[in-house]
Amino acid sequence: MIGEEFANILARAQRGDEAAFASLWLDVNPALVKYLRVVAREVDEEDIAAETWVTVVKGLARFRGDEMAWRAWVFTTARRRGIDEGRRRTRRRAALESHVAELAAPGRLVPPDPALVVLERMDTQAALALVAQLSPLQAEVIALRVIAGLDVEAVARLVGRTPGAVRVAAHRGLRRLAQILARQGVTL
Amino acid sequence: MANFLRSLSGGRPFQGDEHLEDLLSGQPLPENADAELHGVNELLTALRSAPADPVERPGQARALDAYRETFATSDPAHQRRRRPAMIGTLIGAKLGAALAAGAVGFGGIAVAAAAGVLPDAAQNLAHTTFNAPAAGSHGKSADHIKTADTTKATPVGPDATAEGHAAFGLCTAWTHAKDSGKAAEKSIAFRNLATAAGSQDGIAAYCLTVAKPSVDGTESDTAGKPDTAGKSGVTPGKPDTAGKSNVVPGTPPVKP
Repeated sequence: MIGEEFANILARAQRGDEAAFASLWLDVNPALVKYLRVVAREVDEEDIAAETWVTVVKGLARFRGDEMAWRAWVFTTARRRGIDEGRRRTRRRAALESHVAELAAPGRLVPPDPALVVLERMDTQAALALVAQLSPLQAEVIALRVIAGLDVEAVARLVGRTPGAVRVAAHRGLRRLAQILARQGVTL
Repeated sequence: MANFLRSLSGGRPFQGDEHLEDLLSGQPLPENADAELHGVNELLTALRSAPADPVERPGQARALDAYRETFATSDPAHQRRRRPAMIGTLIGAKLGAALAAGAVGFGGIAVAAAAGVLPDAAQNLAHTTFNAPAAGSHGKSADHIKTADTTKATPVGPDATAEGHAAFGLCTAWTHAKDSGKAAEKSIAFRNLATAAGSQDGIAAYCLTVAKPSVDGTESDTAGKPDTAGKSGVTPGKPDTAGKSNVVPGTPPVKP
């Protein structure tokens, strides 16, 4: 996140300063693409991210809010875009599970323990694939909190749940992730 | 560990519960936290790290195109106001780089020649030696730059190529020097770069829009406004860090 400079950079971007807008894009887009990979696997997340920015740019001059509100707005726009693309979670989950299975395939990874190797190779893609094994709500809530950096209240507004429900979903998701790692025999 | 594993199966609170919010908000885990939580923490850290995914560059170009369409082209007066100043400051920065930033010798002359600001005799020598603009081509060069910028074409020729190399080179030098603090503050070239960027603090963001010129000059930045933002290695924010903002939450966004 940008932090203290955000208000200044946003104001410049709203006045037509392209470099300032590039800073905003550079700060948010990597997280945006990762979020879309979790919630909209079967569609082209790069494409949705780009369409999201087109929409954001159109409303940029009228946006008012701090950095948390800014991120919440961008991710809300992306979420709507993803839904508009008609994504289906069952297909997404199937694709992600297939991806995880491929990552953990005995012939693919270095023995002895595929799961251990998955953890050792815990790059962003593997981590995204593991999160996608969670329920859709748990996966999205964790993605929004961890990847997008949104607080509980912002996530609750975004997904249309209460803050309490968001906390419960996130905690259960983390427990589930710990369970997955433990069941796969991972020790640290 | 036993408590932790029992809690997983029963869904009851377990010892690590108190640390879950820390995990979610990117706070460091205490060393005495359950080992399993450290595993989850590693996973979340991987989630936060930026993907090494070059395919996002086209997305950046699309976003910038949309931005230009919405802001730049809808305010041509803004373009007219800004362009001459930026071109002038860039040329000044290039000359400063040649004269004051230790760019003595062929390299410094090359920068000045590329900008087309050497005396005519020297400029013509540079023109025949390494394809710098010919003497007396300043006005033509400026016109070319202006036209190329507003039409978003990919200019070909020594003028635009030199412009891209100079701006990119200054940004690259600044990236390497900024950590020391002294160079960025004292160098005339870097002060000019700050002028081109609008302010000292604006250099990083400005350099984000300066594309790395191609070797053959078929794709270059003309006046710090590339079709695709260049790789500068300067990241004002932390794209891969999803930590909590220290900005106090304020008014909810107005839905555009």
